[in-house]
Amino acid sequence: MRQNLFITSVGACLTLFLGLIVSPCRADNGYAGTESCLECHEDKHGSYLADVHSNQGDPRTPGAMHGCESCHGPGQRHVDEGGGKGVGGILSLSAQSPALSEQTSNACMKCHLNQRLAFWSGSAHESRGLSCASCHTIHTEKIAQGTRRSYTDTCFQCHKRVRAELLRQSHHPIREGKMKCGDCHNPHGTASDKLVDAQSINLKCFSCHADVRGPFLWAHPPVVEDCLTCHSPHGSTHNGLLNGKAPYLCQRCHSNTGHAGDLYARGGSQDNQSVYRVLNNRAFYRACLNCHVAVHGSNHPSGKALLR
Amino acid sequence: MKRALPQPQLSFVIPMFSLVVWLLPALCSAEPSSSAPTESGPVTEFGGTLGLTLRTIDGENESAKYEEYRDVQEPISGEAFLSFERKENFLVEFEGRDIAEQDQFLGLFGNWYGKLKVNLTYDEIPHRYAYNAETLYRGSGSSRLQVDDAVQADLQATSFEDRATRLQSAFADAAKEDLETFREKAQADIHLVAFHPFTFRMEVGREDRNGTKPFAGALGLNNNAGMVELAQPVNYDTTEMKLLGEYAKRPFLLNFSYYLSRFRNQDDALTWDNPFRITDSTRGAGGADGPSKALTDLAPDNTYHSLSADGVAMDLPFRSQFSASASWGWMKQDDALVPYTTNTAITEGATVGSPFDAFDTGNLPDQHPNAQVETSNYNFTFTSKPVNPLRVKAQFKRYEYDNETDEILFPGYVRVDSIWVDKPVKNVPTSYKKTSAGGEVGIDVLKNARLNLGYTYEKKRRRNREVLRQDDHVLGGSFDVKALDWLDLRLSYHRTDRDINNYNADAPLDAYYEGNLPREEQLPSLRKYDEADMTRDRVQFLATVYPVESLAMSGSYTYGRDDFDDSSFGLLEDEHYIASLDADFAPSERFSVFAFYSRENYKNKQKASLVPFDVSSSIWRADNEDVIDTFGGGFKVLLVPRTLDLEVSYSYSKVDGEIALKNQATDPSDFGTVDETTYHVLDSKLNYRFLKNFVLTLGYAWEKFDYDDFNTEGFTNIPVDDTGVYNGALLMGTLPEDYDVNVFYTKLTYRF
Repeated sequence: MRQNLFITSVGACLTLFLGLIVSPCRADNGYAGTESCLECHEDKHGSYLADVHSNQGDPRTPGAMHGCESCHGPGQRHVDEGGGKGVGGILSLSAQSPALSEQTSNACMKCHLNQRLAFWSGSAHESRGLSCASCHTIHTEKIAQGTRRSYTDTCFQCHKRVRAELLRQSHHPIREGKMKCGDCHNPHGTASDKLVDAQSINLKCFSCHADVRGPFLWAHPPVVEDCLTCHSPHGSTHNGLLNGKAPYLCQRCHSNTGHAGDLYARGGSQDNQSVYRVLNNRAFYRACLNCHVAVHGSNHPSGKALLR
Repeated sequence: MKRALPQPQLSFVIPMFSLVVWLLPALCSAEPSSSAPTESGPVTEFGGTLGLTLRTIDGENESAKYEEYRDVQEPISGEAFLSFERKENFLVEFEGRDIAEQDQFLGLFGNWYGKLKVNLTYDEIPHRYAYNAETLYRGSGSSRLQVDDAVQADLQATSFEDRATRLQSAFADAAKEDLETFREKAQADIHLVAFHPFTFRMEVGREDRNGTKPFAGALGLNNNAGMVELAQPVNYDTTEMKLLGEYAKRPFLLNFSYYLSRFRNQDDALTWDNPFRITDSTRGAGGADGPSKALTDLAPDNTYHSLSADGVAMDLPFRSQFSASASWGWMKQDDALVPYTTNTAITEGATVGSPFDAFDTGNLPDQHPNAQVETSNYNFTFTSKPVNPLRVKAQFKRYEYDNETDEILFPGYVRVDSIWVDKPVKNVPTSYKKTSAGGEVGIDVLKNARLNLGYTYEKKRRRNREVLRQDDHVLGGSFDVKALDWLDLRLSYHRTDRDINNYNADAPLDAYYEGNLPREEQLPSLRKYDEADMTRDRVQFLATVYPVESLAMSGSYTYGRDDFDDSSFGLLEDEHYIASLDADFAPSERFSVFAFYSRENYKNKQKASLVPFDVSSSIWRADNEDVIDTFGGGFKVLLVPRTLDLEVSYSYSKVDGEIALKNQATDPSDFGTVDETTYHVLDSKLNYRFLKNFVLTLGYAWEKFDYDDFNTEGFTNIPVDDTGVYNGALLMGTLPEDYDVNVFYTKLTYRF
């Protein structure tokens, strides 16, 4: 407890101290006005007006501030120097090289600053040179909230393995549109591993699977530490999103006396016979899980072997 | 066949939605905008789309797998998107998807610009496990599953050799039922932004989950009694609430949040009849006696709270940023313990003496588990770009799971409701603490490439497990190039080296069992793979090229390998690779086409031993391999611009799985068919736009799913061995089933 207080105090002091020594923001001048922008960039006008950023009713939007120049930077020099990509220090904000991604993201984060973005700097995506524009399209009509398929398709541009895993017979309801990547991950960065939007992977799983949260009288230790020890959340060829086939998955850890170390297999001469005839109930159907049903933990006084 | 699901518990939500949809614009319009009006005054816009779908289904669609998380069999469904906006004042949107289906989604979104955002959603998700599962039990969905007394009496009087025949006779009248759960989730998210940079948010959610899912109960540890498959009742309510307060204005971000999750199970326990006995009795390990009924504890009620604080200081010197977060969580579970058994014949034990009624909760050493866990999480991240092209990052993280559940010493326990086991045992709460510290240096090489190199050290400390101290060293880097307009390259490599200080195979058993009584032994040289010494390699490569503006092609390769070199038994190695190719081509506005292919290969090797340990004839190996091919493609063509277009997409996935087994003594045969599937999905639709605002869609979809596994070959509800004798299982038949379904649909959409 004393150690926790120490860590918390150090963190709080550091944040405050560093905040106090920050350099002041400089005011920028040299705005040309949105009308000037439209003289050359008329093709962007329609999409800009249809976009939430143009809304002048919200004092936080570019529309209520400097219009185009709120994001692309003051444009008078750009106008004076005759225009052109990057001329006069104008920002293009399209998906660009790693070196330029920072200025793109900074332009967005002038306004989009909230808890979801607290760990963007140094996050897996930021450090690989991605910017907001790598995934978000600004000049477009707003997509109806809840349109989830476009979300996953964006992630699949790079995460090809996950796309394939979602086609497995055992999967979360992602391809059915009932979940999206962002229900478990925060792509903008997190304090936890694998961009999981929770204190730990298990706590994220428990937000939907509260029935296995426990804590139980009889815990199954690897379950307590990490659901991914046995499960593949993006999809599995094996039932129950399991990483392997029971009983062999279970036998990777359990080889004690009793029956856990037994080999459950047909003999060489039983090749074509049904497992229901030649093996017993520890091997066929759900194998170990036929009896050890409380594999996530048991609250039964006689549940030490997770049978009840 | 349309199946009836449990009645929605949150059905009040739907009429509430309808009411709010129509009232909210009126309520909002009563408040004049405080923002500056445009020259022509506030402009009001009302628009949206309404759609109606009619469909018919043909083919083999009796597999629950087809509708696992969806509802496709409703002949009529609707969709709606309505938007009402008073420009620069407020926006109200309603979205309804799959309306009138059992997977419908309704959402109402209100945004009073710059002041308040409100999101109300209602979502239904079915989860179907099996249709027409067969069972002897009555009372499905309740916490008491019963078999006819006459069947129990008959089977009790039947010799073991004749059991299968009698059981099959009784099973002729088995009930058929669908195992499925139905989840309804209602959420409200209120976000007050009027006091920017201070914002406040409240999210409240309630989920009801009802129905049944496959479950099982053991009646003995041998084939005489075996196990029965059951329908577990699911009557869960989960309430969630999150409160958040935030200050966000450069250079500071500070926020504090509180989260509550409260889970309640309406069924504390499940009591189910033993089909083979009508009277209670105790029995020895090999006997055919046992309880008349058994009791299984179900998911206990539990509560989780957490408090979190995040802080970010930006715009520090040298383009630096410091982020810190801290969270503390508390899990609590204190359901009343059920008795050791419901078997009234268990009345004595060597250590507890006689009389001792194991079915009396008064004989438990404690009535409640008082199970509780405290979690804490700290994260500090410092990033800086002191000079171009250098970037640095330093991070410290700590997560602790501290299980403070009471240790309860039980004088013994009842094995599968049949016999008292005279071995004092106590529960052993396991805890762990994970601390990591690391850094990363990034250099922008040339103008368009970035090289990152990083190292992280992570230590894990455990309580009451085999390995108490484990250290991971992770070294890796990435190289990202966007050197040319037509080329993106991404490459990363990470290597993890895990060291453990000592592996004590007996540690959990030492903790569980009191005294020096005989107990099971763990194979001493087995290493559980989550605690074993290991090296891990991960390579990822992604290349995207744009040879011409209208064409994008990408290829990716992922390789991973875990080597457990110090493990003589357990998982020895685990390896995988995934290769994929993608192409998108849009030569004109009227035509676009895409295609993709991927091959995945997952292999692992494990080794174990039956008793006696470490005797060569006892040792066996299992080599598992899954090979998965996935490909697909599609096109979209505008046949008549702005009038007629055609979209077609298709994907195919095939899984080949096998397990090769080796044992010197028994010469086992391999399993050549392990969870093998083929899956085809075709979707095609012709869209015809007419009368300016209408779109008529004619569609055809085809899905075919085949599942093959050694457990589906020769499946029977009542397995018998080679001699025709009962083989220890009474099954409902809940494994995935094949389907082959054609769907023809017509959809009329009106835009306004």
